[in-house]
Amino acid sequence: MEIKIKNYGEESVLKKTKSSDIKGLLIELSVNPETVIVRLNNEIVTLDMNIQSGDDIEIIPVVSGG
Amino acid sequence: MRCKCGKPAIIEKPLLCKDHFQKWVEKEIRSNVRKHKLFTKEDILVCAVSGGKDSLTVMYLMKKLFPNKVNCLTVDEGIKGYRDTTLPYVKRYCKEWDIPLHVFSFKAEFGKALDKMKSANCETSPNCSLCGVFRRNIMNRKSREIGDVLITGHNLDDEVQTIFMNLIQNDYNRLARMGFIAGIKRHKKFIPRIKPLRTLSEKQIATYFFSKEFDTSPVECPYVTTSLRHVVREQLNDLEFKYPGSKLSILNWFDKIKSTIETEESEIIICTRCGEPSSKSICEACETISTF
Repeated sequence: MEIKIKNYGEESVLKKTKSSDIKGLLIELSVNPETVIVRLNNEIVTLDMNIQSGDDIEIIPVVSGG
Repeated sequence: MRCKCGKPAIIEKPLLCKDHFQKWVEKEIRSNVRKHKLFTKEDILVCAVSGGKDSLTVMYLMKKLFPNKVNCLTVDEGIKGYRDTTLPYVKRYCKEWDIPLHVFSFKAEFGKALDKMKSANCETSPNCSLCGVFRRNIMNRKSREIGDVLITGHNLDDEVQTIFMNLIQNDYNRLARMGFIAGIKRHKKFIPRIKPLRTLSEKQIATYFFSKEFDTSPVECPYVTTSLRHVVREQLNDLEFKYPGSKLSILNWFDKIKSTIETEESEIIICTRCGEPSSKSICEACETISTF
């Protein structure tokens, strides 16, 4: 399936994924879930949330600036 | 996953919806301040704010939860492409939350921006250390003039990283100085540095910050990757993912054994050049300035 994905502060890009939930997607992207929060269609969600084709996903790093 | 109230959860640890999580964070901060007697009702609070999620959150919570007068202190180190992106957020939220803002720059205080210090004659000093010396100097000196206690946005991740860094560097003295109130010595020229967010993880604070619809710059300090902290942070995040709760367990363990750490603290004396407290007759900031 294809989803729209963006990192915080950047533009969305289309991405094909085989993952069915947020946790699987992060692991597929080599992102430690401990280091980010995720907005699914503009709502902050937990890692078990299912994703569907056409979803908007924003990955926000939790690390402080400096 | 769902909150106990049935609404969708926004975080796993603790498993709560937006409303319940925001209330949980606020309760945790009130409890930290009261339980550890971090300040009195009369104290004027000076929040050290970089414009990142943690410092903006701590300033917001101090204003929201306590009756004290709150001030904002910001240090402009002079890091091109970084500080100039975060300062507008500090100004915006100070105005929105009606908090007086005080900005101090390395250039005005020490004659040089951090970027220039790096390119001039400080090649041997890591930038984070160099920056820390000058930043601490400004924060201690200026916050003393503005208020009674300095509030910082240090979180659980920062604290546990620092525990590990001090272990790696075998630095007992720095370990013993850690806590809700930094420092083991009381001195009229040292303002107490208070860390109300110390028990909350970066993830919890970010979740609170974004659930309140706050915003900040996504730009990271360009020097952050050069530090030992960066390496320790990655290792601890891997550990936390595999063994959830590790960071808080480490902090709780440390707080229990802290009083048993024997230290070799040197006497506090006054820098002969600037009059600030120091362990040597010339403080680190003045010593570094003399090499420019």
